[in-house]
Amino acid sequence: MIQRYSSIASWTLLLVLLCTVSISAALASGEELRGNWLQFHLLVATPLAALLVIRCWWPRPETTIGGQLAWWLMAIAMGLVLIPMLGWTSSENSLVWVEGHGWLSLLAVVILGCTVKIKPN
Amino acid sequence: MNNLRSILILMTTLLIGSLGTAQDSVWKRTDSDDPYLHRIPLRDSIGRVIDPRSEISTVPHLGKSCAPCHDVEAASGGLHAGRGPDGRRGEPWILVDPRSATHMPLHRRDWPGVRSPESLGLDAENWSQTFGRHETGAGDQSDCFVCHLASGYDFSKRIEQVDSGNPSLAPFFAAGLLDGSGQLDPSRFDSSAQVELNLLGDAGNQTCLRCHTVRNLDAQNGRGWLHQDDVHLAAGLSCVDCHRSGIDHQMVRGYEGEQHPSGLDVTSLSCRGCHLDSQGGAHGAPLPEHRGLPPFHLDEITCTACHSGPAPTDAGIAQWTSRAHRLGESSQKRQPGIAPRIVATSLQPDDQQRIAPYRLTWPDGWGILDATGHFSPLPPSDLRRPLRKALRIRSNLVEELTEKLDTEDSSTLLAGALDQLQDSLQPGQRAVLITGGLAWKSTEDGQLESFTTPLAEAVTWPLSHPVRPARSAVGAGGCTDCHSQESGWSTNELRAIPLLPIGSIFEGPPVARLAVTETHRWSRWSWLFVGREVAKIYFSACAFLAISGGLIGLWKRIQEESR
Repeated sequence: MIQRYSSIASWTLLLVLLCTVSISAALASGEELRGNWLQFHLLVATPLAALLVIRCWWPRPETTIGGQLAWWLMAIAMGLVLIPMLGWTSSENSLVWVEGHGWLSLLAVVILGCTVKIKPN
Repeated sequence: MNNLRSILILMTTLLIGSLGTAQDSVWKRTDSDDPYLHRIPLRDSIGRVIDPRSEISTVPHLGKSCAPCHDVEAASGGLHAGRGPDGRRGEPWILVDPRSATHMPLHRRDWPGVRSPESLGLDAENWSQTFGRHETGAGDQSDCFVCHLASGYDFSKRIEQVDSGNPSLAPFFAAGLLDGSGQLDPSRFDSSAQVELNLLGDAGNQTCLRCHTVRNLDAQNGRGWLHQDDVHLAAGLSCVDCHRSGIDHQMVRGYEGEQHPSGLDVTSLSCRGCHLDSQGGAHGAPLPEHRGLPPFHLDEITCTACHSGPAPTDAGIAQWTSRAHRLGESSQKRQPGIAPRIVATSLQPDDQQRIAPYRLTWPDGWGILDATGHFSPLPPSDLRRPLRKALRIRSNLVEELTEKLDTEDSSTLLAGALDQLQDSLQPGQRAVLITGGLAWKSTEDGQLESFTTPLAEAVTWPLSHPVRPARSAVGAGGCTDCHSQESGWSTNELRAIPLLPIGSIFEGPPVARLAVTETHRWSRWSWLFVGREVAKIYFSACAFLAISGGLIGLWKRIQEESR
């Protein structure tokens, strides 16, 4: 069981890392992730979405509050990008949601990194 | 002495000041929104009032008749009369001469791809007789009635008169003030020799549409009747609500980035300025939300690309325009397939590198290519004799050549015609034929040989009307209106149809319908949209589950920690 959890955790972390790398093309404010970078981002995000569900419902026993918070923020970030994707906001405002998705994801990754660093062992 | 000097200075100042005031007060104005009823006398060329019952026969002069109340000099200039800066390219005039198979876009403005009137041997008089029918004219030739007479203007009569070389009296014939024999109609005048004319600043859209109608043809190049009007007109707006001008007739063209000659900011009179910008919203213009559309589309695609012109189909839509096809003239000759051929829509980068819709046409004609690569078209009048000699053509090169091709080879025939033209040229000059998007020269073995040159490429100009409402816009059906393998229009190409029947010996270079995207990348990207709806469901489900699961997990973790 622990081995399975570790495997999921490793894959999740890898995908999180790749997602973070792929949004670097759109980090400048007011820019949108487009073209090949967006395709790459979606390619990575598709399995990551499923792994996030697993990670949020079945957390590893040693996960700290900070770690759990990081995964939850990542899930919320995924929800944010759905607002423009589903057409629930105007085109003009959609950038706000997309940027929110990016910055919240980054924040989650930072928190996740900190929890790994301070993990007692 | 000092007092006298002061008085003189004061009087001079007052005099100069009063001149300015007088200048402003020369022109009569009501300054009311209620239109002024024009019950006015007609005047002759030296400004004398004409009495139609007088035995002295005098010819009316439109400028002098309007001049007592209006600044005719200013009104007969401006962008609408062909003055002022060239600005963004517009629809060219197209010289069509079937005798010489000439079909050449030209304009007095310096726009890419179009020839100057002089280069085709058109002086002012020739120009007026060829194109004046659909031109309001400038200076003394201005026809104020064609735009400002709201009722009782017979546009066909105007065309008749201008074609017969009588442009200055054409407005009076069209307005019914001159009868068929050229005499003033006394019944139109009251006892004080005044005539009542329904002249308005905004005389209604129909006056603009006399020269600015665009008609889509159906798949058989016939008159389409399932067309839509411009959404603005259907909503009750008039053309001049956006295309405004003062007495100077510096008509606002309404495109984004337009620099108006007056220096005024006319941003709010463009699509974006009125519908998207904060200072817009005139006439209750709706603020579109474009839900679900990634915002870069609005930055990199013009409003007109999705909302204007004919909706994209797999093949281009042939169109007739007033100026190119003499619309407004009752005629039995306007049959499907008549020249000039104008096609819409090709989406190409505009001067700001945004995707914009264009109409296009291809030049056809004969000319001289010199050693420097400069192309000089040969005027039809210079072509009749050599072409008649070489091709044994009498009146219509296109029709007669089509008949000849049943028995003879078109390549040999046309190469012979080029050789005939070559005989009269200087050393270093080369006779060339331009048709179907290519240039052609004759080879030593008497055949045609093609070569590509920008001179033969399609001439394009942006289209803006008719504007389609949101429900008919490209994208109203979702992303797959463009991003799908089925939306063939985006990858289809438009090809020139040569005026001359030589389609069997060549295939000209195509013009892409969407000339802005790498084909492979576009196709690859389109595949992503196949499963877009499924992806929305998938990501929504994942987000819901992950957020709820994460919240529960976080709550449990907090409780565990607090124990």
